[in-house]
Amino acid sequence: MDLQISFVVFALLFLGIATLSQLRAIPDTFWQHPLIFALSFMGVSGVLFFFGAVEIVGRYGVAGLIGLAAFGGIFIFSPLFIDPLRWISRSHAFATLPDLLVYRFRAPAVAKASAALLFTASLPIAAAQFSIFSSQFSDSGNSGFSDSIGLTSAVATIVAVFIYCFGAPGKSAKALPGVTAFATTIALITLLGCGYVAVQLVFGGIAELNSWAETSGQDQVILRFDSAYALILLLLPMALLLPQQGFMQTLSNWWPKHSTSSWMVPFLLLLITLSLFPVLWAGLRLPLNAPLQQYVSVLPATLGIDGLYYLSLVTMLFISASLLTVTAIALGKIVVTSYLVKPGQWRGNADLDVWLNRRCFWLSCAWLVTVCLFTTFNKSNSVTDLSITGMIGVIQLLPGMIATLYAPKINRLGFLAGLAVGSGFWLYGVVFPVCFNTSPPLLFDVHIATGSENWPFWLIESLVANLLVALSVSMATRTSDSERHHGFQCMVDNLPTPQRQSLAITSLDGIQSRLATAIGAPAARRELDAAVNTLSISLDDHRPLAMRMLRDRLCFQLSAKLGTLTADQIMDSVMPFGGGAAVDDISLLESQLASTGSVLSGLAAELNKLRLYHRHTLENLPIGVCSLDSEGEILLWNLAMTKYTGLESVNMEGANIGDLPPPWGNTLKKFCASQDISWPVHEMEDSHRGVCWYHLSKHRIEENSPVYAGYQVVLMEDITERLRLIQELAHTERLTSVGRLAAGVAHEIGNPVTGISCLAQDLLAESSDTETRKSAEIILELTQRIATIVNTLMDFSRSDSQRTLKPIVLNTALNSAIQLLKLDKGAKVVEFRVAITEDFRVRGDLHQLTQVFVNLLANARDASKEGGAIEISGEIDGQQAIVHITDWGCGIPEEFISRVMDPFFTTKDPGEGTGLGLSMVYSIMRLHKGSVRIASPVDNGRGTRITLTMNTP
Amino acid sequence: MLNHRLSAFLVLLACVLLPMAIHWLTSPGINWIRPYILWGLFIIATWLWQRRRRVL
Repeated sequence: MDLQISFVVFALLFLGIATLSQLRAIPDTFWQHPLIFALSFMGVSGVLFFFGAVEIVGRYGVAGLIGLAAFGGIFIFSPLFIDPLRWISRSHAFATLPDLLVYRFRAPAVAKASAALLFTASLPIAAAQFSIFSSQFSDSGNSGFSDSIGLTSAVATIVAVFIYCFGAPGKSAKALPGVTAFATTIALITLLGCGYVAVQLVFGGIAELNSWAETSGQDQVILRFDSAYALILLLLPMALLLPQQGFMQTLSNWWPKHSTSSWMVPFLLLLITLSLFPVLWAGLRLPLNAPLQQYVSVLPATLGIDGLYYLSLVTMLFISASLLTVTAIALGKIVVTSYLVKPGQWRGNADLDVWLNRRCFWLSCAWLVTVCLFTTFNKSNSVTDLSITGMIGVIQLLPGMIATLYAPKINRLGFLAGLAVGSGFWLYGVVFPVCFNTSPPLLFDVHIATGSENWPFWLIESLVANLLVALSVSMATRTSDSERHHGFQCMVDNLPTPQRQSLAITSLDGIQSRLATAIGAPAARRELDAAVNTLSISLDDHRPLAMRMLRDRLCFQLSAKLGTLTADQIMDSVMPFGGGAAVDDISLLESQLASTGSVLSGLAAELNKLRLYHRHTLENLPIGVCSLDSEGEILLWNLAMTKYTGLESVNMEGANIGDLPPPWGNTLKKFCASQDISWPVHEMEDSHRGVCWYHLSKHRIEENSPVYAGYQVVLMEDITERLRLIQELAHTERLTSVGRLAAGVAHEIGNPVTGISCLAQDLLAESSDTETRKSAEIILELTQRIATIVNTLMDFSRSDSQRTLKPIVLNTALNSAIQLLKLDKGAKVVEFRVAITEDFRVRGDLHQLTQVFVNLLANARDASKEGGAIEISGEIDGQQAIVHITDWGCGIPEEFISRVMDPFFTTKDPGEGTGLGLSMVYSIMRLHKGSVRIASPVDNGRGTRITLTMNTP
Repeated sequence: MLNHRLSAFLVLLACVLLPMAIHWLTSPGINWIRPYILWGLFIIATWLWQRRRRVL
């Protein structure tokens, strides 16, 4: 009844913990903790590592302990084993080991053969989980189960119920870690408890234990190393090759994130094995009438410690069921992806996930039934023998794994041939003699020892034969291009450049409708949403790079469910390439390096530093840089380009140059397509910066260049400011030449006018005729006017001033000007709003600045409406005083802006203005080493703002 | 990725550390606890080596 009671407790706990693990109150961080991963990983390793370990150290001594430690070796040497796999897993999600091999060897036959081997080799390992109870069945009245079949069927039923309830990916991600971590925890308590009982109750203390070991000679008996290398070779790769261990590693992505896992699993193994020798020696001293593998349960029963005894039975059931559950789920998935899935099976509203879950469940059940049948015919009751038998079968996949990571020249034919030969050795020399107690027929009349005692020989022989055949066949047969390509893709330390081809489809709606034909509408919608969310791309993103990233992501997601080959086939049909030769995908390479560059080491890390430096230099160049591939896809869009165009690089890189918003798309596309190597001055107008001028130049890599033929680098420089300075300089030159001309003309006109004026004065003084006097007065008035104009021209042309510039209060000049303007009673009445404080001082000439303000304010008044306002404001900017004079009149037409400073240019009616006012202002401001700028219109098509810049004192 | 320091360590392990460890394991005294001591040292070394290791 003991086992029956323990079974009921186990069944309740097993399903109860799985149910509790679904509680949302348990935070995700709990499940992601590396300790949970380490406990779960050990929880599915089976009874061999907990109870059978006593048998291992009993048989092989310290060599057995070394073998058990080697099981955690892949975590200690993770750079050699785990990191390369993680590196390969960047592009595809490998749900199972056969899937990884099929990705490497590119043939469904590889997946089928590997799946068949794993399915078969897992049977002895599963049978080993029940052989631990063999002594219980010898006393059937006590156990409650008549034989191993009854127990096997009962546990298999519980496992099937578990898989039905919690086997779906969404639930198993928590249920499996929950029960397996619990199994390891109670196993640790049981083993450490047994160890304590052995030391304290059997020996009376650790000193007595050591003394007994010395006097009995057991301390020398355990010093055996003859099987150490075979055990290391067998157990070291098991953490990767066993389906249940591999499944736990891919169930969640905890372990890639935590280097703590590297020491935690070996540490747990250390704790598990710590009490092996005390328990073994306690059993020998008492002595216990039971196989070594049952010492952990029989020892507390013999000493009358019922609690520990029942705990050991529940623990055995938990560990057994954990291994069976995870192996069944893993093999179900392996068989589905290797044998059943085909593209196009899920049309219409068929749900891919439901289809997969159902088949995985039934295949898991089929494997459990096979386990029950195998247990019926199995003749061995040794946990160690059965486990080693299964592991020798599994290890036949090791050459394939080595070929994946380190030997790209082994091809699929070589792998399959080696696998067939190695598996033959395994079946002949280990499986039949151990499991069915049959002597295999003699080969070539040569007797070769078989059976459990000779497993090291058959392990070495099968592996050597497997490797030699694989190498020989690979050398004798042709390796396909696809195999060679993927062989190098998987190589350790290889940084493959992603290849790019143009995609025929560029819209998300199109992708979803085509994906629906391959995997069904619900799954298509779900997968596409997940991919878009993961990549954070918008629904209207049609960039070629975004489409390629989406394709890769969808392929990644589907490969986790359907296997890599099927996922590739589906994506080839859903998002086919548009043809043409594949070229290096620089954009994807950049993004990959950006995300993975931090883990590079050695020369690769140094080169990546150099890449980052050059990238940073290009990004921050003060001129725009845009590099394009031969099809016009943007590879680089630096910060200056973003500044000029307002288009962010994250949205531009990967886009086609012609797809840019106007006016950039058309212009840049036209420039890239032209034969011109530069456009010296090109006017562009956009909403971002208005009208600007750019200098465009480009360099195209020659078509016959071996690297990146047809790629272009476009440079774009904003020359707006430079052009403005050139125009200003030209304008200044023009005004200067006009001034010189005016000075010459004034000089030539001045002398005759003086003569005319003198004669007119004489005539006025000497003539008494009224008409004559009146004419003379008119002549004098006109000559005075000519003299005024001539003096103005002379002032304008003067290149420097004899006047002394000194600090003045600007308001003084401003108020004088306003007073002078108010004297003109015939002019419009306007309001002068002065917003300049009394302490606003400039360096200048008071009279000249008064003249400036008179001219500017008079023009502003003439332009304003009756009763309008003229605003005068000022500001200090460092060493410069800036004054703004703003009116809200009709403004200056755009075509006149560049000419208003010219002498004699006026828009007023004839006789109302000389056209010299603004010329005078310009001249005076130049003498003050300042400047005049005119902006019109100011707002809503009205107003003029004149900005004077002068020096502060 | 293939850490050259790790490769050098493996060579050192095979040629120097392993023979030394086996010699120590088989020398007279309390033998059964010694493999655990070596194992513990290995774990500590792994922890020291990998605690700041950057992973993908």
